[in-house]
Amino acid sequence: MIKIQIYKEFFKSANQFYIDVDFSLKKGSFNALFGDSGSGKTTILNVIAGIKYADRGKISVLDNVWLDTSAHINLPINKRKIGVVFQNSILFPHLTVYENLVFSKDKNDSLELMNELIQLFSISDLLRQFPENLSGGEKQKVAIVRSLIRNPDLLLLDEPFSAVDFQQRKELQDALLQVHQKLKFTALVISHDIEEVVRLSDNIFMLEKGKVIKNGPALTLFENKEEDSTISLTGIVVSVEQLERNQKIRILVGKEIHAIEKENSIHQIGDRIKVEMKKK
Amino acid sequence: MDFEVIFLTLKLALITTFILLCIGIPLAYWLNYSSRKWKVWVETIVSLPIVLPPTVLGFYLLFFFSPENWLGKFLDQYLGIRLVFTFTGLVIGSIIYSFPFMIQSIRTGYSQIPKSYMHEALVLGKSKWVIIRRILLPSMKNSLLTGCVLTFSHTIGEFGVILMIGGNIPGETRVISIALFDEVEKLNYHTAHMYSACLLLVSFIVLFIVYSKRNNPFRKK
Repeated sequence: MIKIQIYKEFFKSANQFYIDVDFSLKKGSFNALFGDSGSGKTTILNVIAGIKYADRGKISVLDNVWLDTSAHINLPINKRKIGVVFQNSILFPHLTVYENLVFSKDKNDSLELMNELIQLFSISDLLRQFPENLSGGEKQKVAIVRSLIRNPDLLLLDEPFSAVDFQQRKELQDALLQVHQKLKFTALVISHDIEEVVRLSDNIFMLEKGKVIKNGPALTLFENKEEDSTISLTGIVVSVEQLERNQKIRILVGKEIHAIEKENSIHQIGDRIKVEMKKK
Repeated sequence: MDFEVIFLTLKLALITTFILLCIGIPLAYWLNYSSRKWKVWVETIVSLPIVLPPTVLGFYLLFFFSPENWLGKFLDQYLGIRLVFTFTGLVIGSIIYSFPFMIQSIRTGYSQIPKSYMHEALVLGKSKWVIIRRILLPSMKNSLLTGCVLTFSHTIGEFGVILMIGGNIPGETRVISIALFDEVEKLNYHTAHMYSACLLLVSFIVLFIVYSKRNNPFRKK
């Protein structure tokens, strides 16, 4: 179990903000912090990683205490067994992809895991390249592999796919889910993209003005409380087939794709639409 | 022309550059990344030789290293080190005199590297020393080269500090700039020309190497 309690006050453009969160992550689960820009997602990630300080708080990961302000414990960043994938991760430009991966590996880390990750993310063709020759999606792939090589206790992902196009984003999300199924690491992704968090995570923490207002699995979190038997979810259109009068639309909702037919509709791929679904 | 003078000058410049490089890498790192309040004191002291006339610096070094003074006496009596009119004294004087040139160059290199490099490497569990050695230094080769060249050429052309602390002892403290001054005083212009040409040539070659390295668009990053 990973327990996170953070209280932090800070100023941004002369306005005072604060973060006051207290939540736990189950070992091996894939979690998401979902909220609008300015809700404090990145600050929380930076405090967990040790890049920023908290005014008060406690972070314990499995049996290790990373932060305990009352006991004056604040483990340095490089002592926390953590993997972080930033929005625009930096691969060191003077090292090849392979050298970047080897750099992140400790003496005790297994070479087998590194090779397995290289296969799972299909980056064996990129190993001899320098980062300047890679596309945005390829760089993020390498960054994810690099962060997993150390087999971290917690993987943090800060809007990891926001800079890549739709198709690549889907491929990367698939690869990440596949690796998660296999390695069962604990992950926390932060995003303001509802489709991404629903697709990736088992458990979502909804953040508003620095506080977690609800949490739970996607299907219960986005439910319409006025309806008892159905829930209203936002899905993203992934394919459109034009029939005579109707459109046959395939929609990604959560981790599943549903097909529906709509009369006189003019939807396109990428549109977000509300779908009423029966509660499971 | 006395070749021993040239050899001694190059030896002094190389030793000074090497020692300053070793001191400069950690000190410039600290100056760039530390947020200690008293950092400004260190910055001021390190930069003093830029504005201080070399003779003033040389005078103070002569004063403190003299066996008449407590520091010179201590070094002489307890450690057996005499710094006045010796090659070791010249090295110490040159290090202090060229300090800001090496430190500022390396610090500029550190400051040009985005902070995110540091964060990326730290979250990968690397120690600061590993990050400096494997990530930061290879990313600032130009700044290191500039620091070394400035220190080397500055030491070769140094006069005031050397004259004050080292005098003009052949084989011990007589470097090119001193020998040149000596020859001009003796009206021996032919030898003075040779020493001058030698300084000019070394300076030109060193700067040429630096600029050709910096401007070569085909060099591997």
